[in-house]
Parts: sequence; structure tokens; C-alpha cells
Amino acid sequence: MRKIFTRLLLTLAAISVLFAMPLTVSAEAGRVFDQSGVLTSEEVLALEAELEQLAVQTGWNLALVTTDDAQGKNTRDYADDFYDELYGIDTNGVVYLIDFDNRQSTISTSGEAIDYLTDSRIEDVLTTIDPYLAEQSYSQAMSSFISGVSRYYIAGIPEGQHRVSEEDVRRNTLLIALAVGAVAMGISVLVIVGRYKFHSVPNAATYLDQGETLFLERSDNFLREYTTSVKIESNSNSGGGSSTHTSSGGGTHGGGSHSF
Amino acid sequence: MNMPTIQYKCPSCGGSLEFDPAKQNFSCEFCLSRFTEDELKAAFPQNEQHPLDKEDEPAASADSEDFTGHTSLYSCPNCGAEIMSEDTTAATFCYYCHGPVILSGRLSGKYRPSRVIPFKHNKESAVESFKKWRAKKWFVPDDFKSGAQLEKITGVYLPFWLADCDVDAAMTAIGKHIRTWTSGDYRYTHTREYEVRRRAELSFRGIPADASSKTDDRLMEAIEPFDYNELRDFSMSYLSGFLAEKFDVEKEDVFPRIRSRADKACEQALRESIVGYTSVHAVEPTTQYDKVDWRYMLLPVWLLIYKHREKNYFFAMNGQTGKMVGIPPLSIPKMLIASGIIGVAAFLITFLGGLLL
Repeated sequence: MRKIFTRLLLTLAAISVLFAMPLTVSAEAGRVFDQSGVLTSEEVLALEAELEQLAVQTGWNLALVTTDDAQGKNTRDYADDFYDELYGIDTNGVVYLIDFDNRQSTISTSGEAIDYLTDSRIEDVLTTIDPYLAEQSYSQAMSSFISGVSRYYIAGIPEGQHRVSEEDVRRNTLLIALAVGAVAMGISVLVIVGRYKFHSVPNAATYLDQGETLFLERSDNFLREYTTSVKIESNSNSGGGSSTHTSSGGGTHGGGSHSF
Repeated sequence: MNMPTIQYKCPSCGGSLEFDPAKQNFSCEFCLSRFTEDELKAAFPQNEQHPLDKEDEPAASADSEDFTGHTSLYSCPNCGAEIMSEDTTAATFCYYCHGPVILSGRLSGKYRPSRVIPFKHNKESAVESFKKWRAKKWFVPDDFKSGAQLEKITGVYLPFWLADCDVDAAMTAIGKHIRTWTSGDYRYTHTREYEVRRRAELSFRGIPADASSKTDDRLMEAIEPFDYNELRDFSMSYLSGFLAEKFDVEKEDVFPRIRSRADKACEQALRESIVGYTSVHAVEPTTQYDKVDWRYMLLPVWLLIYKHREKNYFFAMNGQTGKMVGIPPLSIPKMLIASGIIGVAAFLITFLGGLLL
């Protein structure tokens, strides 16, 4: 009788210990880094919950960051480095940073998030966030970010999506500039050489006595009329593309910034 | 047999008289007296010949013993020296005494011009104009910029045929009036076609053509036009102090060039009368020259031949209007440097501009 009672008690105790596990957020899932202290603890909790949902939905690494000191970096580099150090190079994820030092907020994408969040989509999300930053509702700003990301994740990677790296842009600009320079030089050569050649003279119009010109026939006779038609090819709007750049750690990032 | 020659001698001192373009009268180089044209005509009536005089040109056989086929002998009325001149030379300077000599025998009969435009720009003016024109050319070699060959610039009365033509020109064309619009997914083009006919009588007055085989036709066309309002009745006195050439190209031989210029002008005039269409497709007109009247005259030109690195460069200035034409030598290094700078500038602007975007 006693033995059964002890066993029951022990089982009850074990079960209650299980139930007593705290429903706190585990340390590794902490995704809000409010270094500037602009969020209340309730806001942090709420945001962490939203982030958890988003993480489940996308499988991405996520972070919301505020800072008063960008450590001498520009906002974009700070966000990139923060992500790389926290989650590693070229993993899938996105971070939103409010930088009070440079007075800019930025979204930095990595991995497949670059392709989901194209330049135009990021611009859209940032524009939606702008009014919240203006009125210093930082929690709402971050919440807006989360819903924006979610919305575009659901929309999927747009058709015709492509990446345009900063290095590519720089190289293309150089090539175009070289071509323009070469063409300019060529035109200059042709113009100068042309001025040092003989030109054919104008015709004898100077010697035409205009007053004496007499028209013997001036007829314009209608022949025929016809109509043709051509179908216009509709051009589909492509995804717009994502500009990418390389962070100091060597990771490829997309994203965009707005000042506030 | 010696050729008849004329020299206008100053009634005051016997020195030679030359036409002064700046003052438009005749000045004596020694006593500096000046005479108007009328005074000269009064003093030398025997020098003006009738246009109907038969040609005094000596028969070719008289000079066939000369070593070249194009020279004949004359004697200078001033110093008596026997000098050579080319067949076409009508006025020149004596090689020995530098006095102006007019070979009147070469300006009579069919070689007597009906009119002449006297020089309006004298040698100083020609040299000045040339210097100014040269200064504007940035890409000439440095040695061209400083050349002293300018003194060799020569004032020549050159022979020209002038043609007055009445032309019957006819042209047909297709004129299209096109309208486009878009409706739904389609772009529509509506075309109305017209047959256009134009025919006109056009009159040209005084189309000039270079009548000397020694000068470049294109160069002479380039210094046109001359102002025919300043044509004077021909008098050999105007030639005094300048060179002059008589024609050696017959009017039949210059007509093709004149005709081609007039044809183009007819095409332009007819084409300009076709208005109101979106597009016109015209064929070259047919032209018929009903009447061509010819005049032969001497017109003033300042000529300079410039030799640079074994190539000859020709310059001409209209002796009446001052219009300058010529092709200067081109310094390739200067041109390449300038073009290179422009190329580099374009490159920098595009590159920096592109990066900023």
C-alpha cells in the first residue's frame, strides 16, 4: 500500500515538474536587441512572439535591433555585420535596424531572403514604416516590418527575379563610360578631319530668279487609301530585381535604408 | 613676230599706272598721282578696242620653234626686254623691270570679256584676311602658323563663263498622309497616297563656271558668289597691276558642270513646292534647257599656293567680297591630343555620373 502511494506521489511530482517548466522564451530564440532601450518589456515580449511566428512561417533567422552607437560604421554595414556575427555568412534571414546614431533605419537580407525581398518590396516596407518612426512609435514600426516581411514571404519570389550586385554595377558603369569616351573621341576626330577637307559646294539656287519661276503643272491626285494594324506586344513587368553588395565579412546582402 | 602689248603710263611722270582696289582708281607708283577711270579713258582712247576686232593672236606656227608648246614672245613696252609668257596669260609683270604689262592681243576678238569686276581687296587686305583665317584654325602645324609665304599671294583676274538658263523641269512623286492611333491591343496605321506632279519653268541668271584649266573648279565654286551689281564694262586698265588669264576651256565644255548645278537647284525648288505630306518619295526631275545665253568675263581672285611637307595647299579669296576658301594642312598630333582630351572628359563624366546614381 505504501509502495503504491510512494510511486503515485513520485509520478505526480515528476508530472508537476514537467508542467512547472517555465513558458519563457528560450535564450537562443531571443531576437529583439533593444540596445537603445526604446521598447518597454511588454513590447519586447509581444515582438518576440510575432518574430517566433514569422520564424516558424519562413524558417529564417530574424533580428530587430536598435543602437545609439554605430561604432563608426554606416547603418548598412552595422546591420550586415550584426547579422553575419549572429547568424553566420549567407544564411537565410533578415534583420531590421533602427540606428539612432546615423538616424537611419535599414533592412538587411541574407540568403534566400534577398530574393523574396526585392528592392521595390523593401522600399514598400520602409515607406510603410516611415510614419511610425516619425512619431517615434518604434514598437509599431517593428511590428509593421514583421507583417511586411510575412506578406512578401507569402507572395513568393517574383517571376523574373534577378540580382544585381554592386560590383557588377561598378564594372558596367566603367565599361559604359569607356565606350562613351571612345565614341566621343571618334566623333571629335571625324569632325576635325572633316573641317580640313574640301566640301561640295551648294547648288545653283543662289542664281535662281525666284520671281521668274513659273509653275506649269501643280497637281496632287488622290490614288488610294488603306489601313493596316499591328498587335501590340504587352510587356510583362519583371520582379524588379534585388541589388546586392558584399559585407565586410564576405556575405552577400540585399536591403535598403531610409533616413528618419 | 611680237605681240601687241599695252602699258598705262602716268601722264605726269611716265611711270606705270596700277589699279588701286582700295581707292578704286589708278595710282602712279612714282609720282603718286591718282586718276579716275574716265580720266584714263580720255588719256588713252587708243587702248580701248572694239569688241568686233578680229583676233590678233599670231598663228601657232610662228612660235612652233619654241621648246614648249605654250609660250610666246613679247617685249616689254617699258624696258624692251623680250620675255616669255604662257599662252593664256593676258596680263602680267615684266620679269626684268617689274612694270605691269597687258597683252592686249590676248584680249581681243572672242577673247575680249564683255564685263569685269575690278578688285576691291588689295594685297594688304588679302594678307590680313588670310592671317585672320589662319588664326582660327586650331589644328594646323606650328610651322604653318608662322609662314612668311603670304607675300607670294597673287591677285589674278580669272576667266569665267556665265550662263543664263531657262529650264523646263518636271517631277513626279508619291506623297503619303499617314495617321496612327491605338485601340485596345492594336496599333492602326491609315495611309492616303497621292500622285504628285510638278512642272515649272525656272530661270537662272549668271551661273559661273571656271573657264581656265589651270585653276581648280571646286575652289572657284567655293568663293562664289560674286556681286554682279558691280560689274563694269571691260577696260584693260583694270588689269594694270594684276595678273590676268584668258579662257582655255570652251563654254560647251563647262556646260555639263553648270547643268548639274542647275539640275540640283531645280530639284530643290520643285521638292519645296510639295507640302502637307507626312512622307514624300520623289524621283529626280527631268530637265530641258530651252535657252542658254553666255557671257564671258574676268573676275578678281587672290590666289596662294602653300607648300607644306611636299604637298601643295591652295587658297583663294574672292577679290571682290573677301570670302576665303582653302584647305590648310592638318597637324595629326594636335588633332589626336584634342580628341583624346575630349574622350577622357566624356569618360570621366559618364563614370562619375554613373557611380553617383
